[in-house]
Amino acid sequence: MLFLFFDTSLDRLSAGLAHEEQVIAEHSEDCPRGHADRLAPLLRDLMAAAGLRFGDLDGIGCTLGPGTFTGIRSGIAAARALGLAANLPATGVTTLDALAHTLICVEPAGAPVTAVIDARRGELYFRHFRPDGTPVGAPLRAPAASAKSHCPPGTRLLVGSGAAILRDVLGCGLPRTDVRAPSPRALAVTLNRALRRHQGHGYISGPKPLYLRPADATPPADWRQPPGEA
Amino acid sequence: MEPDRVVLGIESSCDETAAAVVDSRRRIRANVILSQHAQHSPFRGVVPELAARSHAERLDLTVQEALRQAECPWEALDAVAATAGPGLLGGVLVGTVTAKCIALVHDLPYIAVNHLEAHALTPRLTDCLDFPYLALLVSGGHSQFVAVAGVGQHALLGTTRDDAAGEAFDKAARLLGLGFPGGPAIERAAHDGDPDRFPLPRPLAGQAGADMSFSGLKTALVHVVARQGARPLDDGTRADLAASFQKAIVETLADRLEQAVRAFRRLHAAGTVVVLAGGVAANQALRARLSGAAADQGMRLIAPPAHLCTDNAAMVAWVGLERLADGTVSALEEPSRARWPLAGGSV
Ligand SMILES: Nc1ncnc2c1ncn2[C@@H]1O[C@H](COP(=O)(O)OP(=O)(O)OP(=O)(O)O)[C@@H](O)[C@H]1O
Ligand SMILES: [Mg+2]
Repeated sequence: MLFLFFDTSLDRLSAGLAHEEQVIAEHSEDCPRGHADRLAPLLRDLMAAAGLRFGDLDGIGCTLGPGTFTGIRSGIAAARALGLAANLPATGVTTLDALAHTLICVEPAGAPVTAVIDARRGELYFRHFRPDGTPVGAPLRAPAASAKSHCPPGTRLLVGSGAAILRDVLGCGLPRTDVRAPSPRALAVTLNRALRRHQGHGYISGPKPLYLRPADATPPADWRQPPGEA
Repeated sequence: MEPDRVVLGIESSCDETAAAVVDSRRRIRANVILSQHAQHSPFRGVVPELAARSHAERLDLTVQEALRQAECPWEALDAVAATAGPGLLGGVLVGTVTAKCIALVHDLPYIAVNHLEAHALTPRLTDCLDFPYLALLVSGGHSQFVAVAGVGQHALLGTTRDDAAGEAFDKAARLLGLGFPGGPAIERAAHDGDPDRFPLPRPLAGQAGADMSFSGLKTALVHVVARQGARPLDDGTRADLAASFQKAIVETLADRLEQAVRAFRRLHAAGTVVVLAGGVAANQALRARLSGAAADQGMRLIAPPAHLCTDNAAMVAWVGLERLADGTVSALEEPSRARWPLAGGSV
């Protein structure tokens, strides 16, 4: 399984090529905004440097979010377009899974892990994992103040941009503030697993974004179905 | 003879998710448009984040469907073009990323298209029109008179000082309790109405220069509606209001066209064509009236069929073909932008 992967969901942009769990080419850069326009040239350069063509690949993998809405969409749109155009399976993993594995794939965690992203506006995105990386429950969004009620008791490793916030709320836990975005290696490990299920297939349907936060939009209070519209 | 070229076009700058395949013989081989109107209707306007989410979940299959309808394999494509602005950036980015990635996989040129230029060049696709011509672009976000001298060669002759014409239609429809988008709803309602029952202003009428203004018209309509009392409008009054409002916009544009033709002739004495483009150009009353107004000036009015006036990807693919022909394709680094004026300041 040889695949192209990328993460555009947070304020770093990472992309690479992997064979199974092995990263064979990678690039990461700080990218507070503008992932969309940066991504295609980066992928072009990666492929060229590796001397690969899309026909040589077995799949495309990306992160699904949560993260910035525009960042998530850039990755999803790219994965879908590449999958469609190259007739390759395209799939994704949550950014929280990739974050947790950024710790776990380096050294066994020895304790449960919570991946937590600062969602701004006083909220957090998070997901819990067993020490081996198996997720416990679904990805969540909650106000930081009430995050405690969504966290199992006991000491945990906290990873991601919201680690310090969650530690303060919980009053315990070990924040790893150095890890703010998924590493290329973690992307390769998690996406390899996700793509394996689709190996040998062409493009079926694209990965679905995981925003975890609804769009800011409320219909006017006096809204009623306009006459003549179904 | 130059071999046939085939371009895939992508449009996602507002609330239509669209993909089209067009060739250099001006054949529209596929023109797929998924409208999001139903999603935005409850909000009486386009919600940018909802639009962007919808584009991201549907554009890949829209492209696939266009290629299927066109019976066009990837290998038959010569370039991929996408609207790169102006528009709602979230949606624009979905389109440009998609186009760039397809171009990357198949080693094709990518072409970043200005959405307004796509509207302005549509009659070259539909009517084999030669440069130069005077274009009136009237859409949801823009109202401008542009002297079109060539691909990428545009001079702004006049623009709206406040609302765009389509925006005015949309706001008026909201006020009258009609649906979204407002233009078609007003046109439908106006059909049975008396356009002379309610006198409304003709902003800037007779004034020199080809600028436009529509916000005063909207305010005048607010006052007229208020004078009808607190009761909900009855259908007859609503139809008369819609007809009166539509006539005010149409007459205003006819008056402004006279000025714009003068400015255009100073640049291109030999030009004989006025093009009506953009979503509002779908309006039949406007087409009929401007046709007469152009004739009075010794000009001929050309308006593309209504479905190629509102947002579509065939017009984007066409600009792709024009750019391919003159060799001005884009790099994958080309930025996407929310704002991208077609031409610099008033002449
Ligand atoms: N029959 C009609 N009569 C009047 N206005 C119309 C009609 N049909 C569509 N419109 C108006 O056209 C606008 C949509 O046009 P279009 O899709 O070209 O605009 P847009 O893409 O939203 O804006 P822009 O092209 O400036 O970015 C809306 O404001 C709509 O009300
Ligand atoms: Mg438009």
